Amino acid sequence: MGKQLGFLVDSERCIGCHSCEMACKNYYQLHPSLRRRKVHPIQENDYSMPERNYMSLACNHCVEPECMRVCPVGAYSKRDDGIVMHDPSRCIGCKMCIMACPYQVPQFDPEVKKVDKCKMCAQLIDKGEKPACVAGCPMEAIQIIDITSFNKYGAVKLLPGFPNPSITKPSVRFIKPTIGKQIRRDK
Amino acid sequence: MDKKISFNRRTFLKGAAAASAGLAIGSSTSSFNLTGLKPADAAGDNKAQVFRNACPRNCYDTCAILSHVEDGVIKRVSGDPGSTYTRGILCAKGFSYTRRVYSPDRIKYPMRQKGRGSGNWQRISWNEAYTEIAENILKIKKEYGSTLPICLDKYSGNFDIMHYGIEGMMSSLGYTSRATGTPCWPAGIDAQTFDMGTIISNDPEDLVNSKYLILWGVNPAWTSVHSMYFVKEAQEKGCKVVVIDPVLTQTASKADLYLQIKPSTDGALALGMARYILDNELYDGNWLHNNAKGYEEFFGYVKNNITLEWAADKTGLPKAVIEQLAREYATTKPANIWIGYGMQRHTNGGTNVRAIDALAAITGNIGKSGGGAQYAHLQTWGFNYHAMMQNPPEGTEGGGDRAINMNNFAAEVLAAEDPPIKMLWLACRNPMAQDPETSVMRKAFEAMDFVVTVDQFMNATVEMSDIVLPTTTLFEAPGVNVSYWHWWLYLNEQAIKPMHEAKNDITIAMELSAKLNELKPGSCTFPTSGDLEEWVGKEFNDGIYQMFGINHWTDLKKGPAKAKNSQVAWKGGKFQTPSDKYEFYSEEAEKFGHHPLPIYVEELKTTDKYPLRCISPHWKLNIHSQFQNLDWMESINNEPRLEIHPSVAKEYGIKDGDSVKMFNDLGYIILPAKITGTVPIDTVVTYEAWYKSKDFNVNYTVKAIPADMGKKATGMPGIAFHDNFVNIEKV
Amino acid sequence: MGELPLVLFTVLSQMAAGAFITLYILDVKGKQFSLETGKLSTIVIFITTVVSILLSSFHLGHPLGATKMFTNIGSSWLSREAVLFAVFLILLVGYYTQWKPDKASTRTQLGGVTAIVAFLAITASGMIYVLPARPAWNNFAPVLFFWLTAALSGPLFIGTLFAIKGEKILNLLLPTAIVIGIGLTSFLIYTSLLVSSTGLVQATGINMLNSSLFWGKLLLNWLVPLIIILASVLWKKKLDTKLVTVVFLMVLVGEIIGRALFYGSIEALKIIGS
Repeated sequence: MGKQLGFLVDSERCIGCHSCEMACKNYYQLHPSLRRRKVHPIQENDYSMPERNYMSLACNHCVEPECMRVCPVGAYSKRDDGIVMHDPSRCIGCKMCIMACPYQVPQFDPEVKKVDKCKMCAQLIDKGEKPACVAGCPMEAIQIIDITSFNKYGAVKLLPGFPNPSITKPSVRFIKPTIGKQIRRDK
Repeated sequence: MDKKISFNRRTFLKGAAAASAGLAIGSSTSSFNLTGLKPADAAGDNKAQVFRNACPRNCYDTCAILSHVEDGVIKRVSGDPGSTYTRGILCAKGFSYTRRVYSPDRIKYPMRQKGRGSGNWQRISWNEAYTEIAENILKIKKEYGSTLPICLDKYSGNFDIMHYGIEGMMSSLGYTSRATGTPCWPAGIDAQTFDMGTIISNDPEDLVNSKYLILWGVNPAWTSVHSMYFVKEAQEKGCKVVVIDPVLTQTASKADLYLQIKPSTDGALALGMARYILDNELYDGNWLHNNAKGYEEFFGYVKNNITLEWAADKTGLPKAVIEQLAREYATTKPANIWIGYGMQRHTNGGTNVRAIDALAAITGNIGKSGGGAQYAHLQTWGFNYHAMMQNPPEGTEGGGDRAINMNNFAAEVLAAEDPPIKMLWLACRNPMAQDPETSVMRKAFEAMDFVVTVDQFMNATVEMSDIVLPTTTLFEAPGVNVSYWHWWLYLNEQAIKPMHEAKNDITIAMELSAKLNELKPGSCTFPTSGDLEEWVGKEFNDGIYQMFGINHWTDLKKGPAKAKNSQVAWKGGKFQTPSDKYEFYSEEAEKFGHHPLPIYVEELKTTDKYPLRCISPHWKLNIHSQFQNLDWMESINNEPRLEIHPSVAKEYGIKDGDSVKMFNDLGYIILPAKITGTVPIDTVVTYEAWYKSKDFNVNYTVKAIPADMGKKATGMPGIAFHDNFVNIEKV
Repeated sequence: MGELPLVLFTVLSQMAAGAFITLYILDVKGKQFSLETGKLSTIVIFITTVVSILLSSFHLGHPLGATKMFTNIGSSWLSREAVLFAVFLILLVGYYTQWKPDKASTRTQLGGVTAIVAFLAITASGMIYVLPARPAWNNFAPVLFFWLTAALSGPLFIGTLFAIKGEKILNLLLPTAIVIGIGLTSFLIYTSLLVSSTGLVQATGINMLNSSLFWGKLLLNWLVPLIIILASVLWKKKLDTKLVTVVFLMVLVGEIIGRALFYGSIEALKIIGS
């Protein structure tokens, strides 16, 4: 089997600072409403003790991408390294992919009236450089990994709030946040 | 009444410069890394130019920035990898800078408002603006025989060294009234000044060497993300990270141990730990004998007045926990404490910091790599302050500038007499939004004859001004900046032309001086022309060159420079107190009306009418009233929330998202609730920020209660922002 | 009504497709109506389909690129729908030319192929919405309800056209009542299944029940037409032009309301916690 690049999101290192989001917006000078990467808060009740935990998600470059399946103009393609690319020159802004993505990743750019999506900074990866979000994280909490050969002990396929990965087989792995010891004053 | 300023920041900084010069021992000139950045490589595009910039915000991290410019437009920013603290990465705010430079909301040209607060703005030319301003200044001078009725309120909106030219502009007019003091951190500064002589902290990159790290009332995950990296590195190397904070902050979520202390009782915890350390003989007697004064008196106080049961009751933390914390802290070497500014924004903030300092001292952790009591430092700030040092015009009478308490600004402006204050100049400051007692501030603004604000966006202070002058961002003018936390020096190059009609504060000063001298020769001594880059060069001196090991300030164009021999504070144990020792017993403190020892001072408590405390810390997507108003920031978050504990919410019948009114006898705010277990049961939390299209300001409820300390080192006591007692109700 | 272009496109195109199948069946079964009426009906169906496609183009960011939509029939139901409706239109043109006295058998053959294409087009339209990301749609329901739209509004459309053209009034009472019965039953079962489920599926069901569009659809799409039909039977009143037209328009509005409910009530998968 070939390569499948994906994101390793270390939610234990992640401090929810949104630098990754902004680094991406800064690199591409995106329209304000477009968030190619989003830092999602994880619901407090999903853990044993209240904490402030996040999962930072961009496009999951799925193994079975719904966007690619439903696009009527074939604007989506999957590279040999697994990155799912959207070609704006083919896009007619029908928003089918927006309806079909379980993670609500593609967004409609109101200025150019086409869909916009994370492409894992493919042009930087091809030069051996890191994507903007990876390079822009102060905690080094996001890494690029090859899903096919990745086997870090303790990495999981989803965190609370993440849709069922069996739908599209997203190329993302997580390190769970650990809950430290808390001496609290409420019962 | 003329209160001559016996201290000012200049004196403080000069002292710091002297101290730093003393510390800069025999440096070689070429031992730092010239990173020699090639613009083409950096941008990956041969058309682009890359400039070096220095973030001038009031922030621990003050990053080294690279701006990538094509055809005179900044295409993006990045961190400068040449700084081992910035590590080539900014933060959400830093990465949003292009939206600040190119924001459609930026004030484009000078404007005049017909009726303060009316919103009736008209565009005027710079010449018209200068003329009206100069005429007002001269009118005041004529009527009162001095320029004391003119008051400057300037502070941390921009800490770039060149911006001290704003004070210089005031000095060049004559003697003026000056907002004096600092709202954010003075209690802790005084505390460390009494204990050690001044504030000096370790290089934050040294955090990785700690084996035990207490983050005490500080939230670096939000306010110093670059330090958080080093905290994590320390953790990975086996350091135990303990966070002590009333709120379960983002940083607390990363801790090995989190202690939900009762607000304002930090001194009690420290003293309780000291009692344990004393009882179990875990103190470093040797270090105390050689380096400290008054430790017998301190131990006597602790033995006779402090018990662990008392400490447990005061802090709300179990006795066993305090004992374990004390044991671990005292026996793990090296052990470090990072004291936050949030922690000292209480009426007993200063004495609480003294008690924590004492912990570091009795365990012999001060002066060690990976150890100490970190707060801040000003060691790298030994510039000439050339822009600031201007002489008053010939024939100026009077004894000096008049100090107006920055931390009770509105009340003192209104009360000033002989002469009264008639004109305000605001720059790098937004008191209408950021100061407590907003209604009093409004009255003060309304009582003025003339108000000028220099700013980039139409914020609350601009709205109460007569004239607003648009000013440049860091990318549009040269400058130089350092930090009160890390030990780097960054040059700020001009990357693009000023946007619209914006002008740098020094340019404004020069042109205003020209106008004043045109109307009345000799009325202003500020130079009427000059090259801004030359001005930057004039800030440098041999002390700086030695400290940073550079030959000339232009070397900084090739890369950032780091202080040579920083970076462990108080190494060698020679302090700057009157006794040259660490002073548990401080006569200086006594002179300022405090107990000479770091005792416990009772905290303010809630009342029946206002049973909840409101803590209003910094928010992660802004620096005070900057950044949250940008469109990129709004797409992440566009409304404030009131964080309420689930059992408190249940009691008040409030559900997540409900509209809640938070009020006391000063005022109220209405905002949606966020039910969360990360706040304690007796406290609600909302983050202070400016949402440009919302009338949200937690200061509507905040009184200007002074903190206990601050007068010695900064001229005025600080503000107890977090001693705000409120009640809530669902609306 | 964020998705008005799609609401109108789907309802009108399904009505047109259903109308064609009705026309074909009437022709094959030897019902008596004039060739003129047959021709007119074909034109009207053609124009309705074209208008519906033009309306749908308002949904696109770049309508002029719509011809690219024919290229991904390998995986995309939207692409297949586009191809099928294009073929439908082409076949309609051919069908139009066959309304001549001697062309009955070619007309029947061509009509059969066109009817199959029309049926497949409606099916493709429904399959577009069978998406795992929208759990309440991720089943047979979209296809079923699109078929029902065609089966209810199509014949009524033809019935109205014939009546206006002065043809003998078609006896639509029974077929309409049957389709209404199937539609009402399946819709109520579907809604109950949604509401008694969990998560996003249940949330979709609750959105539907909370919407006034739900009640509008029930009334105009089914209940009132059904009552009118029952009343006609009980009072032995014969269908006349007015009655057919009223029932047709009521059903059409009901379908549009129902489709708006379809698009407006759906809950999509997303990251929970944001």
